[in-house]
Amino acid sequence: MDLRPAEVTSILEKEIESYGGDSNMQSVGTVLTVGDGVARVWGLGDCMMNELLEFEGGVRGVALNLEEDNVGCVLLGDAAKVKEGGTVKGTGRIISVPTGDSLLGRVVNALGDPVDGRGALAVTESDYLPIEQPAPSVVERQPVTEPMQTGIKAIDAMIPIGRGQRELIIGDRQTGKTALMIDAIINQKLTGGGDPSNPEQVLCVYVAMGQKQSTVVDVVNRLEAAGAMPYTIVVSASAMDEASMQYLGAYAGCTMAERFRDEGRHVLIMYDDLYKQALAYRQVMLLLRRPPGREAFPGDVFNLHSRLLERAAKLADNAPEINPRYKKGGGSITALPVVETQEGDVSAYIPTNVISITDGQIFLESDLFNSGVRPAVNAGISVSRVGGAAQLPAMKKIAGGLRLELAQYRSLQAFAQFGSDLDKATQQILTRGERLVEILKQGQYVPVAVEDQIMVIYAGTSGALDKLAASRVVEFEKAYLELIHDSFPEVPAEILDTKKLSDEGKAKLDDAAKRTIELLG
Amino acid sequence: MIGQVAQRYADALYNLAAREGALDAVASDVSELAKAIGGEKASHFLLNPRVDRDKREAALLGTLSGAHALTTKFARLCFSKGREAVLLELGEAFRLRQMAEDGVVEGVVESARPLDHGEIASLATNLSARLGKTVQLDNRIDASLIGGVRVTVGSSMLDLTVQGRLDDLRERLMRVPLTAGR
Repeated sequence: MDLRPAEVTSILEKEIESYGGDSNMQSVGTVLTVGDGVARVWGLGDCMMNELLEFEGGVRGVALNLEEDNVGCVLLGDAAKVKEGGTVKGTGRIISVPTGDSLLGRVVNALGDPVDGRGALAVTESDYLPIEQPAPSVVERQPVTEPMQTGIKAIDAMIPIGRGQRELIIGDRQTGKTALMIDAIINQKLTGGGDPSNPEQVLCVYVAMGQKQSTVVDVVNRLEAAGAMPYTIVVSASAMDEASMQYLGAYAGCTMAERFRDEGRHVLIMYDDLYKQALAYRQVMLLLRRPPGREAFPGDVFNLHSRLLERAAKLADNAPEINPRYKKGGGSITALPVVETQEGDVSAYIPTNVISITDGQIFLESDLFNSGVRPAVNAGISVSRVGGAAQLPAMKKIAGGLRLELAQYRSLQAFAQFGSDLDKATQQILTRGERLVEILKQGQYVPVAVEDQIMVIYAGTSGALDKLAASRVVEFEKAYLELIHDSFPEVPAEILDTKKLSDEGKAKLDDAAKRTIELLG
Repeated sequence: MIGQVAQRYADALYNLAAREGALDAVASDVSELAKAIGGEKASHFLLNPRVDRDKREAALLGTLSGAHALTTKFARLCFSKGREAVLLELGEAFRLRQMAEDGVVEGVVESARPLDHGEIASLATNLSARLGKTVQLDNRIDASLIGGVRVTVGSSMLDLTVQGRLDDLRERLMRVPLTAGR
């Protein structure tokens, strides 16, 4: 950044001229003890819960424990600068983060300070909003009605997500959880051309908590390469940040998303991941000497996640009339929380908590991943409890058959090794299933538009692929879509327009599939 | 800072003394006692575990020969409960309680140069009106403040020093977004 001295001078002049200084009483305290990222402060008589505190040396902290004779707080910066006996000033405001359009395309930390080296944010005092805000009430919401397309065939077809839904992504390490989310972000480009000023554009917030810095950099680079950064905010509270920052990151990201939701926009927010966030929270709470419960997590660890995920919502169209906080109705936050499991154990404490909070879950399995089924979605135990209402009618019709046939396939899969000894009906189910599994496979960072998904899945469920070798399905998919977009562009147009697939369209797709198979030989 | 235990013991003594109408007598006993055991040697002796507790108790009661019966009883209770340390903080805790009853708060006024009595008194009057309590101010000198005064009463602070304003201005300037050259 290159600065012009003249500008700096004029800013100085303006600031000094307008500087009044205030003669209000300030709340102060003295540091009793400091260590492990927490401090105990004596004094601060009228301190509020979650109040931002200022320590000497510019270090900030948050008051979390208000006790009889002291205040327990976590430090949000270099604890080495805080000394016993030092002065602490209360700021009189709840911890807040900047929000608004100027954050789009930026990488910020849990306090909303930019960490991408691209200069300060253009925000004003009124853009700062508290990180803990109440979730919309019952009357301010409406049921999920619009689809949130992830661009992943297996998910959009069988585990549909609607705008305003909370869908958990759960799986062991190295099963493609983060890759799935990057795909979902990239796919949002289709909603508004990747232009954040387009009101149709779904905005994205990716919150990385306790992740490796290299992972965060990788995600940002992927998003930049795909042109997805202009409508995305990355909140980075990586493994090297203080535990307090790691657990506050989720709330900070949610507040940034809420600003857009309250302006009638649609936002997709991803928390990667809530297990690490709970670990960070546990650390802070144990250091503050809150009593430990199961697995040493504090008693309010369920509320930690439920109050966060409750803030994801689809607002009612008349929300502004009910509560002036909302500037425009109809906005939504769709939340994709991630929980990493250990050895596939979904019955552990945090996974069961988050499963019970969310509106469904997408299970990613190591076995599937290693056998080449990627994305490694286990369609059998993944569910979406509310997304069905938001699915396109065309997709809904086709996906019903897909689910059923895949379920039959899975139940018979164990017999597959008997090969020709099986009766014809069983063989038929196995052949169909194999091809459907192939169809749902998908490369990384190549989300598929919903009309293409419908046409491809239709080809699979209609039986057009049964005579084609399973290994050639990928090849078929590419040629088939090319042929349709060349020869029958009216079919995808019709799906997008009417959201239905007519009999006429089906006939054209059958024809296209036949011609593709002939072409491939 | 007074420990919670000492403050509770002192409150109990104050309440009893007030009920029996012996507040003045007990208050003077307590301040006498504080003076007597305030020295390092005396306090070491009082807490020394190698000296028999009975001996220490007898020695202390010796200094309390002319005291009110309540004070003597209080000292013996402290020994029987193993709370000799409370006696060391008793003077201060008792005084705090008395001040709270009288609506008096103590404060510190820091300034770059010594303030004269008139200045301190007018500051105290102003603050008393603002806080609704009688404020007693103690003057401390800190040349790094450059000018003006900084008053701290309890956990509230009023910073009217040049140094405080400069710090404030620095903070504000750091927060101004620079738009040029990007």
